[in-house]
Amino acid sequence: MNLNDSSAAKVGANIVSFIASATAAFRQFTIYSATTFSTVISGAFGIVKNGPGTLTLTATNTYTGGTIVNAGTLQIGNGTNITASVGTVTLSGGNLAYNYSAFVNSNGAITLARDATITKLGTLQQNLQVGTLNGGGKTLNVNVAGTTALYFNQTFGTALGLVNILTGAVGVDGARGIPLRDAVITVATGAQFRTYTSPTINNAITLNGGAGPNATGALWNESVVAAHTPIYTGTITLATGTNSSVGNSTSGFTITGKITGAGSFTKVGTGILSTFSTLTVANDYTGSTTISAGTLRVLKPFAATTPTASFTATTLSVSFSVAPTAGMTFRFFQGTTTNTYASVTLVGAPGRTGTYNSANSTLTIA
Amino acid sequence: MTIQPNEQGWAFDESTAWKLVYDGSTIIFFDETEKSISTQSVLFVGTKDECDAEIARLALVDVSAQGNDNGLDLHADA
Repeated sequence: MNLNDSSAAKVGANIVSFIASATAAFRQFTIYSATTFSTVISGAFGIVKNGPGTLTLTATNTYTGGTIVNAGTLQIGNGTNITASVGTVTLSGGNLAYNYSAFVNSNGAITLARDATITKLGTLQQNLQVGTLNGGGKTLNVNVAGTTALYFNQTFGTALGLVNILTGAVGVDGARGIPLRDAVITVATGAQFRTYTSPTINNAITLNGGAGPNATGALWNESVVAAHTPIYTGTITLATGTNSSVGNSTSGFTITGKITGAGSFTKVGTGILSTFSTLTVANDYTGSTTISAGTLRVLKPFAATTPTASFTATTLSVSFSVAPTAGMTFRFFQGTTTNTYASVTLVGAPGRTGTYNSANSTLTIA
Repeated sequence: MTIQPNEQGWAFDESTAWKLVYDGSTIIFFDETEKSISTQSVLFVGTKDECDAEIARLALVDVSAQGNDNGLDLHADA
């Protein structure tokens, strides 16, 4: 291909797939319809992607000047290869897609100069585990195909402003960088934010309902190691009129941030999910609470005692730090509890019995 | 030994011992404690060996120990 500015300018957009031009520093491609380059691009220059069409690069490219996406989508891989590479990417109006044929710890050196969308195609998990993510306060929309996640494990550069998880699962690994920290995260209906190992998640997160991919939860701890416990310290908002699931299996899961909003909450998965309401940060979501599987552990201070309630689907046990007296009532949720508890266990309440009222989520001591 | 419930269906124990509370096949509480237990589920009190034997005899399950590991670690460096 002979890259020539003057000839490119004379070609009509409707009859070509792409127009290319060249300078010393960049090779520019203006893509009008989907185009795939499978030959290796090498040299001490960068690539600029213009135009509305998708440019797919499938070779193990070695050019060193970086990649700028001004419009359309730059796709890395075509679903049949695992070594496609593009170096450092700057999204300046365009978007990025990954389509590898196998699990890959792939290139994640990305800078958002404008709001952008990143897409994972194919059914296999991908980890963006090399390089730095510079969010620049911009909005990142993420679409993930299948039930496996796109993990953002790069080094943190600058924070994103907003992360919209539109479809599928987006993950972060506590043993890696957590480049999504500080951003506001919105999880669309049926989508998922998941974790691995024990990250601290400081994001304010809005859940819009659904159980996420594989019905594992809108929030899910993927780890199966008991000591792996993500800690969510930001406010979690349950969107009005929705019911959002949160789940884990053998791993831990702790929410110390406030759970708020007019939506409902469902615990799924076999593990223990711990939530903490303090006197100053009290969970006040007003929707219903359902324990479908596992244990929802709720710690709430009341007067002199701090009961820790462990709700399963069929049983409720409450452990008191100071023995309660007859007539005391303890409210664990603002809304109703879907489960009814015929079996109640009290620990540290000598001689006392208790009755749980699911209609107002209160335990009354007798 | 299993503590028999009263007429209202509550079993109580205020001793310091290993205490096992279960409902069906699910373990609700299992620990050595001086704290009192009041429960509408089954309360078994004894030594740790006695409690372990009861857990084995009834095939009681601590659901928090269950997992779903698919055997793959997709988080290691490739």
